[in-house]
Amino acid sequence: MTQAPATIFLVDDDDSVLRGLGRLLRAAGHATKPFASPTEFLEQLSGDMPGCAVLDLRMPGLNGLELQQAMESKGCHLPVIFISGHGDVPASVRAMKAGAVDFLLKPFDEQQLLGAISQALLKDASARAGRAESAALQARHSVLTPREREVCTLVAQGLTNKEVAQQLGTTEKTIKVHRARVIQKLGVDSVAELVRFVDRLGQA
Amino acid sequence: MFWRTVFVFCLLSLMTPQAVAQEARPAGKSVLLLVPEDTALPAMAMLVASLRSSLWEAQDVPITVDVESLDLGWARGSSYTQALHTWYLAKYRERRPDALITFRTDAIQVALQLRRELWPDIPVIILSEDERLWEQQPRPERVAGLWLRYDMRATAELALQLLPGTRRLALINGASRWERAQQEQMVRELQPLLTQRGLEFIDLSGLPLAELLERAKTLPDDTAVLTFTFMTDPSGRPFVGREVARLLLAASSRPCFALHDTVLGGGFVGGALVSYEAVGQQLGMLTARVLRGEEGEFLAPLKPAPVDTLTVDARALRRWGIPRDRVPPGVRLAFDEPTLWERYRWYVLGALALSGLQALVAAGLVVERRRRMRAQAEIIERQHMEKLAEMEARRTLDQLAHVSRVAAMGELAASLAHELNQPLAAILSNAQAARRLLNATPAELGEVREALGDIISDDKRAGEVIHRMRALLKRGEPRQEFHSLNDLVREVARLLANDMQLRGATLHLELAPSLPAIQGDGIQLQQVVLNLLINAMDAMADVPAGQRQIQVRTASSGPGQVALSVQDSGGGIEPSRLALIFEPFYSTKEHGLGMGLSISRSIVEAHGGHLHAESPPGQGALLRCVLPSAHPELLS
Repeated sequence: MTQAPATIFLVDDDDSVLRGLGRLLRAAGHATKPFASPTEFLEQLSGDMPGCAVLDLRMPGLNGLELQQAMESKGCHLPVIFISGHGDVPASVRAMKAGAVDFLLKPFDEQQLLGAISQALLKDASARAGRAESAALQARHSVLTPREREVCTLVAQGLTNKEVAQQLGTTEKTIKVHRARVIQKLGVDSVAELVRFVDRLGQA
Repeated sequence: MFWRTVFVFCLLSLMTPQAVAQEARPAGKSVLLLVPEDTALPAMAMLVASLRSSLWEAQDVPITVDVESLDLGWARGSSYTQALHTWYLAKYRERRPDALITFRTDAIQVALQLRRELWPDIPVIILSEDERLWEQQPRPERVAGLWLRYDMRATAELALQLLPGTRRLALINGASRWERAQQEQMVRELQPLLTQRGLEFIDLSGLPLAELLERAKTLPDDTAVLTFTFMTDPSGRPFVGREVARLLLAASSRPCFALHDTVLGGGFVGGALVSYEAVGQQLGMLTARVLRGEEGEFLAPLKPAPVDTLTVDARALRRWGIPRDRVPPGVRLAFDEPTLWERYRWYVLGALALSGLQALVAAGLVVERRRRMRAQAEIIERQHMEKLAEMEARRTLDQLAHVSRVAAMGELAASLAHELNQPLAAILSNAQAARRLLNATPAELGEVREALGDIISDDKRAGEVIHRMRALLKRGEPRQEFHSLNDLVREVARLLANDMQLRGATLHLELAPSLPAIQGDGIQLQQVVLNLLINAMDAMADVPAGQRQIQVRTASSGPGQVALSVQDSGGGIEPSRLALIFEPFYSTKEHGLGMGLSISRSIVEAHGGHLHAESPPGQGALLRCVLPSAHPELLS
């Protein structure tokens, strides 16, 4: 979160709300970027922007929920906070199910908004960190040859060299060589560490 | 000294009775009535009054009745009798009575003695309850009399007939000498009955009042209570029988029977009741005969006076649940009050018949009058009635219009809330931002100023929403004012903007640059625009979100007319329904009231215009409203 500056993206068709929100968030020390229409916001979306989005639920053209889906489909993982002038329960349920961090009813207090924003930023930072780690793991894994990947997977499942050799139809000696190379390429020290690597790779 | 005086007096009176009497008083006669007890006792008072009036009726000359109370119940002893003699001698020295009247055995004895000593030659008229008196020898002279029977036996038999389950008879009586004597006589009379029926006798005589009442409370269920009198308690205290009776009846657990008609109506079931009025009357008649000098009566034996009648109190029967058919024939039923219906049946029926007649007459008059009124109205007041009807219709329309406006605003409630919450949210954010900006070092005053500017404009915006809402919800007398049709349309469009947006509809306004003013009620005219726009939005519910368009046009339409048209991009109206949509309660919407268009047309017509619908093929519905312009001048 601290390594890159986080931006709060504000999308609301109501000009004065947009201005007021921006002013409040800037006064609280956040960088903001206002958008008066959802389409404008979608056009400017780039793949990797740290921060979060505050979306008005009811907007002409594209409502907040539709915008959230459009963001996901464009590969934008910004955490979303919805704001609404007249909230209805079904919309808020749908919003929360779709992964929104919070759902605030206008008029809302700054504490509510700032609390939701810091929560969203934390979520974004950890998701970002998780994504970075899994990318690194993927990169290391991609160095392995197809045969080495097979050996890696079976060893991580807890099979002995003999059992791996039997499954792959080769000799225990060959497997030993493959395994040493896998451990060396992935930069792990032991079979235990190899198991943990595969585990995290699977989770990422 | 005393006896000498008496002697002299007697001598004088014997020698010249007429002279003395005539000297002492004018013409007319006087009688002296010696009452054994307190003269104020109800029975005594009744008797005296009745005697007096009977005497006056029977004699042509006025008769003076002097009443003296002997108070025999509690005053006793020979010294008392002597004192009485002295007292009467002194009192009646100058007015010797022409006759002496008294009653009750003990009082008769006193009276006879008084006469012997004071006025030996005057007649005595007596009323005795003891028939044996007449058998006494020697028989007193110049005594006429009646025999009064207190018929306890008949009373007891009546009680047994009314209460067949009776196994015990209780007898209540006072403690004076005379009452004790009566008690013996009554027990004697009752004895055969007791034996014959195997009844138990409970003696409640001669008790102190408190004890008597206590005993009366706890009498066994199969007891009938017979009461004679309670004039004196064992200590000699005099009582008023009727008052004691009241206490007794309140306390008694069993029905009570009595012998005196003065207590009738207090709650006694009944008995052979002696009427003191009848007694007084008979006594008076007898006295009158004696005073007229009818000597023959003096030697006649006493005869029972038919003054007691078997009587039953119907109310007491009801109270004790005694069936009426147990009352033997010949027994008088007192207080047999008919029910109100029984008593007033004929009055009620009569009154009903009368009021029925009145109603008929009144109805006839009303019908006649209505006919006349109708004729008059047709001839003279037609215009007036029409005006009234028109006013009434207008009033109904105003009320309906208001109701439908409230309903329309209800549909807009979500939008209105949204529209209010927007500026409120902006105000809150700006205010909180301003607070933070002021706390910053250095304070960012420029930004604070901008925030305050935004707050003010947002506050105005919220105020306008509320104002528009209130204006439309207002209910009042319709006002006749000049309006610009374009302004009315803009106002409504502003109110609906949010709803339009939420419903994904786009509003296109094509307003004529200049239009003549229209005259009427602004709120109702706005309501027409509101209804047309809401209908247009509803009509496009099935159209895809991007294609919901509403065209609103205003134009000057011919001389002296302005027109408003609202066209949607919905499916249009079937030609067969074009006429129907203005009918009240006709609605194509699931939750529609069917009032919007109907009321809109009424409003427009009340303003002298007309409203109709078209459905150009493939172009949605078109509603066209034409209103007369107020002035030829143009308004912007």
